Amino acid sequence: MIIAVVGGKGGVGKTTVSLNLGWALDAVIVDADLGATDFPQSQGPGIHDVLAGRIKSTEAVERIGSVDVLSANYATEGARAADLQRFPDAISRLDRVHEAVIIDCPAGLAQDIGVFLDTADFAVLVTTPKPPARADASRTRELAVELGTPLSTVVVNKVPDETYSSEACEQLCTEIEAELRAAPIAIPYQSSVATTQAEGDPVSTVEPDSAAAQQFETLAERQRGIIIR
Amino acid sequence: MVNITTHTKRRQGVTLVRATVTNSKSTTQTVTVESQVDGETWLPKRNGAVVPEWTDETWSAVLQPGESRGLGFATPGDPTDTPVDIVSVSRSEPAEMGNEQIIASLEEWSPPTDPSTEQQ
Repeated sequence: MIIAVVGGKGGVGKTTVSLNLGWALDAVIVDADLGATDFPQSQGPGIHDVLAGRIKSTEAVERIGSVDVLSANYATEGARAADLQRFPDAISRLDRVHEAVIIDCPAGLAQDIGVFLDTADFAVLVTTPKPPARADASRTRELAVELGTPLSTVVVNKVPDETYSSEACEQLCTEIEAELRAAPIAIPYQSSVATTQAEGDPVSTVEPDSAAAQQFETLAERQRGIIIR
Repeated sequence: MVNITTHTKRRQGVTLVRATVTNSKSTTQTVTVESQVDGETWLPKRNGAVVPEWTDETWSAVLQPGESRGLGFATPGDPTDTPVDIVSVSRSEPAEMGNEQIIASLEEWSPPTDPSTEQQ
């Protein structure tokens, strides 16, 4: 099972979703943000070395915090030798030996996103309630549709507390479902989510009873039920 | 609409038929024309093989908006006023792009600058 976590806009929480979903699914998380990673970095070889043909993807995976990660350690020499054409093979190699592969995609809509979406069995789209993020998510959705990659879920991330705990949340989700045509799931804004992430720990390991942790578990549960054709 | 103009020439017992098909519609059209001459249709060959637009007595091709295409054949039959005519015109669905083409049409990606060379 290969899942691309995409969003279009930067800062909507793609890495947060990747980390928490990856942990819940016991997946390997591929940090595909080759230019500006915000994932915890390792000192060892990473995705750049894999894409440069220097090492097999399975050999570059390491444990960071409580998750398995193929990191984007872009301080590696020779990053320019990275070739996107190696990406699909590198990912299917991981898919053969891991429960699931999560591709934590960068922002934007360049060729790299096209390759990542095309490699994935399906995608999880991340947005925030704000209109610019939704507009970018909509463009990303269109590309996924063109490439024939289905969207399993749209994560409405960073929902303010006052909205999350009211009826407005349901209305927000209905609106976003109509816009982005995928089943929505709302995640409340919670400052501890970002704090735990810096160490590579999903919020579920630190605050398992929090609303965010429970929603991430629901998100994971939905992906587990998907049958790949 | 799709038009056809024809021209015939009889020489040494053989009729040479030429036609021009023009698509003046704003959409791509698949056009099929057929010989109306009473007699065998001798199909044109290119490098020893019949040109691909021809099958038996019909010629079929996809014409872009505004495009004109020429065709021709020979026959032992006598020339007529309408030696070749359009038998069907249908709107063509645009060719679907493959995923490689879709990806190639996106903004170009280049790997990040090598930090070790940047510092030098």
